[in-house]
Amino acid sequence: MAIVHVPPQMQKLTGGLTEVEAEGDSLRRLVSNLDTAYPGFKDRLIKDDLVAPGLAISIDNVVTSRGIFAEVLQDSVIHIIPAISGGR
Amino acid sequence: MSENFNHAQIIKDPGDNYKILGTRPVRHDGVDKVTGRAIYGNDVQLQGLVEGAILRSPEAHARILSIDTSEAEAHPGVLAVTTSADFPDLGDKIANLGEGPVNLAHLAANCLAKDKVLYKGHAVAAVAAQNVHIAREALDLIKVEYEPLPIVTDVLEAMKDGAPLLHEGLLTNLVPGGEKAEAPSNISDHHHFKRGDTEAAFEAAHIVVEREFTTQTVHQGYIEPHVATAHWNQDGQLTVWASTQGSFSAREQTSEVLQIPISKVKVIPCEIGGGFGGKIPIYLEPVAAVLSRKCGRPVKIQMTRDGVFEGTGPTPASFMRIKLGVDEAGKMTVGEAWLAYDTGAFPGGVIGPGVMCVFSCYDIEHAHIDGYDVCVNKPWTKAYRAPGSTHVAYAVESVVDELAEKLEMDPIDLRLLNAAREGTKRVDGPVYPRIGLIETLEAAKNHDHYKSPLEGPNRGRGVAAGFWFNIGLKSAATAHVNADGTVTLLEGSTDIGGTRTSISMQLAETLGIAAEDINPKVADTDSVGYTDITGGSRVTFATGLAAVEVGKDIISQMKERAAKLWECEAADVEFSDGIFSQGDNSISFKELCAKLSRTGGLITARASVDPQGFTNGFGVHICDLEVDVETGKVQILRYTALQDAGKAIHPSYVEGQLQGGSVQGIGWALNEEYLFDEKGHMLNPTMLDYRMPTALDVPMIDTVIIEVPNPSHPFGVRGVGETPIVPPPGAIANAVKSAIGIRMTELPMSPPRVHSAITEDGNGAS
Repeated sequence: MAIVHVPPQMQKLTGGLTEVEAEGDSLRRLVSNLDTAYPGFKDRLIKDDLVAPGLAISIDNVVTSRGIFAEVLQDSVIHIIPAISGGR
Repeated sequence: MSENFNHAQIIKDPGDNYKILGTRPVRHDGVDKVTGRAIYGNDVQLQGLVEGAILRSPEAHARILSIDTSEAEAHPGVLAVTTSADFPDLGDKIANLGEGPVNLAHLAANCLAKDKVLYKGHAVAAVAAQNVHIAREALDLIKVEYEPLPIVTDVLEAMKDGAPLLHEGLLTNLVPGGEKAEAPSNISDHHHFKRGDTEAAFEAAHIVVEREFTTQTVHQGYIEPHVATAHWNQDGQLTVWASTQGSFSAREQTSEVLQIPISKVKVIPCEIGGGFGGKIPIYLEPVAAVLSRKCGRPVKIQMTRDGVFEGTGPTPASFMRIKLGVDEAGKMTVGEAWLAYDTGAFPGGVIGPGVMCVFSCYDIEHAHIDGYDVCVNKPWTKAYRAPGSTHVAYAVESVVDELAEKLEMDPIDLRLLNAAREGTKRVDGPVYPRIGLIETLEAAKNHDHYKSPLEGPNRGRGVAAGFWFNIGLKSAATAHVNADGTVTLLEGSTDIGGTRTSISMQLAETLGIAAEDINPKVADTDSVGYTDITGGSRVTFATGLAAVEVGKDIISQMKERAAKLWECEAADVEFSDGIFSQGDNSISFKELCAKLSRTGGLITARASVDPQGFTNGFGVHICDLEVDVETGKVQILRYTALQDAGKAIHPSYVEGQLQGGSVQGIGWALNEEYLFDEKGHMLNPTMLDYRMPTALDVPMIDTVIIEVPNPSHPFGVRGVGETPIVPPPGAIANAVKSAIGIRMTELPMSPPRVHSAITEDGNGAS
């Protein structure tokens, strides 16, 4: 299963867990499964089928621009980080 | 180019055997630029063109009670007047416009204020007239009734309970992925990262240094003011000529603000006289468009210099508290950062990159970072070359220098001991791939500059490291192969730093032909595939990658043509160094081009890329300086910038980026700042009073290019454009400390501040 590192601002959703495991071969499926285990995850990460404004998802240390269609491997490591933007 | 020119030292990767890459061909756009024939935004001339001007707010914070434009509209020579009433209602829609999410209502309200003005210089109305002089006269005839409101311009004051609120409904975003705060404030975003046990680690640390730092608002200082020309044709098609860092981004922003289909907007990018991040957002485009729609003529608006300073997006002022702990050997065990950046009039600043960059040069096990974006009554801040990173590098590199002093360690050795490397996990999570910070630090330590003695009173030497991301994003390119063996290359990246040539060289290397045989053109939004902004140190990396893919497509198609000539299978044709071959047959690229029209017609190739494997850039700077203790003036004596470029495609342009970024950082460190009075009015909105460095202020910036190839690019390219602005304030502050024993904790280190610190009357802490 993929490992998702949970940033401090989201740890309320996981009961304080800093990392959780989830299944899913795409970011969409992974987030959907996470939302089942930790309700509210999807609302925080996905808006209108896109990664939520201001956020970026790093999969195996590569920040993806593929959004919810990004591929996730069985042993992927996911980080949720701020999006790099030069002022919005 | 003169043979005597002092080229950079290049520390090459041993596997490098390129033929075109690493050479220094004359830039493709050079003749047009030195002869004045290149078309910049203000050179655009069209049949029936009229000119516009912008009315700006005299108040830093006020409610707009009414706007009466009737007298201006009746003024002879005036063709149209517009206010935000002519913009559609955008609600609170967020759009992702390539460089990140944008609140469209804020974007529109920054182009023309809606119900409040939020800073002095905020655009309120615009006029189109037969010429700019009449337009400016008419501005004086527009009557705006304001209800002044209390102002706040200091980032810490703006965070306090009871501070004047710029946006009554603004609830803080808890980032990343958090909820919104419950009570409104000026804090638009609170970023928070934590790993390990910082409390225990500080308790166990051998030495702990904690310092507070402030920086002031600084502008990108591009020479060319913002300028846009719009023609709204009777068929509903809008064409915009713009000085922009991204024609596709300008098209998206304009279409969203005006709520017209994107297919109805074409943006033609003009040559650009500097941008540095400041020409990513739009300001004039929708205003000129609405004026054009109203008067039926093309309308050009060019900002005045004070309009640029007061009405566009500088980089934020900041307050930073940095705390670092080391063990007895000097290993950094723990770090804490509390950062507050002002975002200006609207939410959405650069604190995100700030929190990700703050400890990015070092491997630190325990860390805690809080960062805040805070609205104040100043212009809406925007990107400036490595946005958010220079601030934190100044603070962290100052503290690292102080730790080296206390440890009695060489400052480069301390950095080498703690430097991030492949496998180091950043505090925000991701793990570095192959990076070149160690190699860059080693090159600095071995450089003649660092090994040379520095003698004389009040002279000192400082070093600092810096980090910035390379972003990937989308790029496209199209190529037409000509019968004479040349290739016309269309690409969509505005050429700011010589990228026509750096992209062409990658195509030339792929095809085995000369760089001069590529004819690059920066095309408009109807003529080339979608291409993201020129920013994020991405163009040579990502658009270069598109050019490489185009080259592969050309080779594949030309193998088929060669196969026709030789009556063989295309799979049997080989290609190497510009020669196609099969058995005893061989033909050069140029010879085969001459036969294309007889073997199926000339060839067009295209590619569209969205690379995922972008990387990181690291630089190390060394600065020698002398402080005039009578006046506080700091004179830079010698300066060396070293950076890992992955692969320097055109070393002269890499040197230019290192030198230009260094000089901008030197200006930020020593002189540049927005000065405000108590009403929030900028006191120095001219190039005379906003003191940027000139050639007389700095020595020749020596450069060293280190090549640690980026594994995610076929030629190993890393972006180089932004990192060079990051280390200078830290290196200079450390050199000032070395020179006069005073650690400057406030930027700029201008003569009054340094003098004040020397006389123990100000902000320096020894």
